[in-house]
Amino acid sequence: MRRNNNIIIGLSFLIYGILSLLNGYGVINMGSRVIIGITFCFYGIATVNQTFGNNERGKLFFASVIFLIGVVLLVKSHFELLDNRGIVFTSILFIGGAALFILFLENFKEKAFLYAGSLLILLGILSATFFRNYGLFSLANKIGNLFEYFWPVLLIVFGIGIFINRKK
Amino acid sequence: MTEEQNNKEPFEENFFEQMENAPPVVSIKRLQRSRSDVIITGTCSGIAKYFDTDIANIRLIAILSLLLGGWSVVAYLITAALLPVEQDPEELAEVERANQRKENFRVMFSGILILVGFHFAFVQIGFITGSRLFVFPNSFVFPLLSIAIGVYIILSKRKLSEKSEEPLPTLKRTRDNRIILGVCGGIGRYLKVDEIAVRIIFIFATLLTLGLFAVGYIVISLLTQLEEENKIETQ
Repeated sequence: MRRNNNIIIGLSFLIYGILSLLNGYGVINMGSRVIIGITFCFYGIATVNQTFGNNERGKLFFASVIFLIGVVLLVKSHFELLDNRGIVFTSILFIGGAALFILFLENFKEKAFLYAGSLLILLGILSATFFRNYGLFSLANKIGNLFEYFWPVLLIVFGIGIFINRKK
Repeated sequence: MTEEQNNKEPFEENFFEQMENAPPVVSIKRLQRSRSDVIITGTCSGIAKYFDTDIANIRLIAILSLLLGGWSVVAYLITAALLPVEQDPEELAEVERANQRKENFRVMFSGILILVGFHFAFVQIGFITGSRLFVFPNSFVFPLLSIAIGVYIILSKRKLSEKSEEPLPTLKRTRDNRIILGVCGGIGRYLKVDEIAVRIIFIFATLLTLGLFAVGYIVISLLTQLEEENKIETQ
């Protein structure tokens, strides 16, 4: 018997709320990024532990991604990074790869997850080392600049698209 | 007396005849919270039923009304507290319920995307500052809201689930529900999540990595089979 995932979600909300209140009143000194990172790491670890091998692959995948985003947020808030955009680029590849890899660990028969996950992790490592020398990040920065202005429009377009096609 | 009785008789006869031939009484519509289609309290569903309109539109309006400063939350809570609860909820079959859940998820998901999109577009344009909800600062409202949601979830949904013994499914590309090769549809089915959410995450990840993320898509499409045709017929 395992505890339901809702308790973990509830506890995550409580952790975020209490830490944010304490932070707001100066009892503790953390940035909002650290608080979100801690909450994400808690939710991710607890949910992966609960869902692994329990036939809840959607939650397992989602929790792996959330945990890794939490790790990135914690790392970003504790270390000075020269290239803030670059870490987003590498993180997406690494997080995507790691989440696919954990799906393979749950079901060894699905080799597709192993190969795709490994390749994405490899691309993540290469993007931070090899591709960087070829000016990939400067191109990514240009697209990032565009994305920074237009991502709300993208969200609205996607949202309207889903709403219109909701019955399909 | 006899004359009076004679005068009354035709009227009484007509009255009872009319009652017998009258069309069946239509039940009066009541504004009440629904119990058959609930996401939070069933208020939007109840309002939609009362005005005989699409529930999705009412829900979308309710979500977008948060752009007006958050007062709609207070209005929603007061309405939910005042409205009576539906006595005879509509019984739905399991398939209908699954479709309802899917549609509700899509309405909420699309509503939140549009809301967040408009909010940050307004912040970028300079229409709103985005630092205050109601008269209190966000740094006070959001932690309290978060604690309230956490307590509510823990107290109301405390159940224990047994370990599932279902056999592991096989990842297959979808034949009926695909845009390019059916990988996102297949992953959505494998993970038991809405394929639209998978597609949007994939598109964002591909855009932000200059297309490198699509390598994973291609690898999965090469290593997985297309689902059988007879499976589509059974679905």
